[in-house]
Amino acid sequence: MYKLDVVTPKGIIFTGDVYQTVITTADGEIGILENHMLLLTNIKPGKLRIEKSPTDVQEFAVTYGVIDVAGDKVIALVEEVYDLDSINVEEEKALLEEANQKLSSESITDQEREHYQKQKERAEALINLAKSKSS
Amino acid sequence: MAKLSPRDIKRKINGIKNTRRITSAMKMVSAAKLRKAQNLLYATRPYSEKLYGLIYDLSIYIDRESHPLLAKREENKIDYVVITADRGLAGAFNSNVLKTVWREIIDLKAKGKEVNLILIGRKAVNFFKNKGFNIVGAYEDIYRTDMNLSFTAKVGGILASRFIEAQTDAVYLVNNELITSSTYETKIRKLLPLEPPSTVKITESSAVYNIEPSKEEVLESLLQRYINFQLYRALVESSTAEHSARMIAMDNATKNAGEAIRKWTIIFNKARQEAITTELIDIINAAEAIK
Repeated sequence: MYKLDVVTPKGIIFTGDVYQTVITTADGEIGILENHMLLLTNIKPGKLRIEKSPTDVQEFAVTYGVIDVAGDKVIALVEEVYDLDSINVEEEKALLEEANQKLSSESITDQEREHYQKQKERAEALINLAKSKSS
Repeated sequence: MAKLSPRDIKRKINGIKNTRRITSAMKMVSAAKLRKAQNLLYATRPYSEKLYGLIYDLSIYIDRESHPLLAKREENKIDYVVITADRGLAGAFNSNVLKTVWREIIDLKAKGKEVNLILIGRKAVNFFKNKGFNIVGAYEDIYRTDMNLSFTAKVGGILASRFIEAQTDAVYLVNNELITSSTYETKIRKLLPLEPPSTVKITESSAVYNIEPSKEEVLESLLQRYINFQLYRALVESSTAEHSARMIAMDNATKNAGEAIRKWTIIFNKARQEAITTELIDIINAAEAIK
């Protein structure tokens, strides 16, 4: 068991002792057990699975952030956290549509490209998570 | 003052009563919104502490001078991010910010500096429209719908890349902040270049910590996150102060309306009594004449 904090600018989402955390990073999904190697890395949009025990499991959808794994203390700073069934799929689809449109247009600055790329990635991840929940 | 008939005075009193009803309702609404905004503001604290802690920790492992977002240059081109409310009726809330920015700009222009503006809030947008300033971005209506990180990420991204590409040498944030629950102050804060914690000694980078994909990339994302977060916090601060200011303005307006009603009621009573007295005198005179 180790202590996990999940914090967003809008407040603390989770704090407490957990057995395992599964989260999506730039290199793919990682599972963090006790005594994980010290790690600092970026979080990508995807699922956050908090296992307080093998049977007591909570799942969320998260967007961008950073995770700091330091011995018996893990801090995840994320921009947004959603319950899997509270994702607004229609809104995300609209955001995805907008991002795709902008990305396919010629007149776009690098900065806008980066912004819409992220918007696309985020919307796709959230839509997939919502689907996986309902199916 | 021209003499008003009792009926005119009555009409006036009813008008003031209606106004008082509106101001008192607005006060209630602002009080509720203030509570909401305050909760949002308090909720940012854990994030802010942890984010700052991480940057602090990471700055031990990294050559801080090397990062473009930390580069100090002579401030010849300056960006101001001006945050006001979308709506007025909040006392001097908006004009305080605008006046502060105006003074700064005039001062800097006199020194031959280049000033660019990023305006957030309708009052700021309208104020600086057609005044001949270079406006990089103007955003309205963000408090109602978009007060989230996707908006601040957008603006934060623009600011960071302007700074990295040397289109600007420094970025300042101007917004109102609540000091106590009933007073606010206009604050100017430097957003860029970021000032890293200066007390940290650079030690030999330790091999134990695994930083993926690379220190630079993680620091980059942390710094960008920090900029976005500062913007977000400034917006939340500003909206908290706005509701507080409006609540006080409306409270005063309600009190003033009550005072006005009291004053006009006295005038009304006097006028009515006067009319009755005149009529009585007429009747008595007529009665005397008949005798």
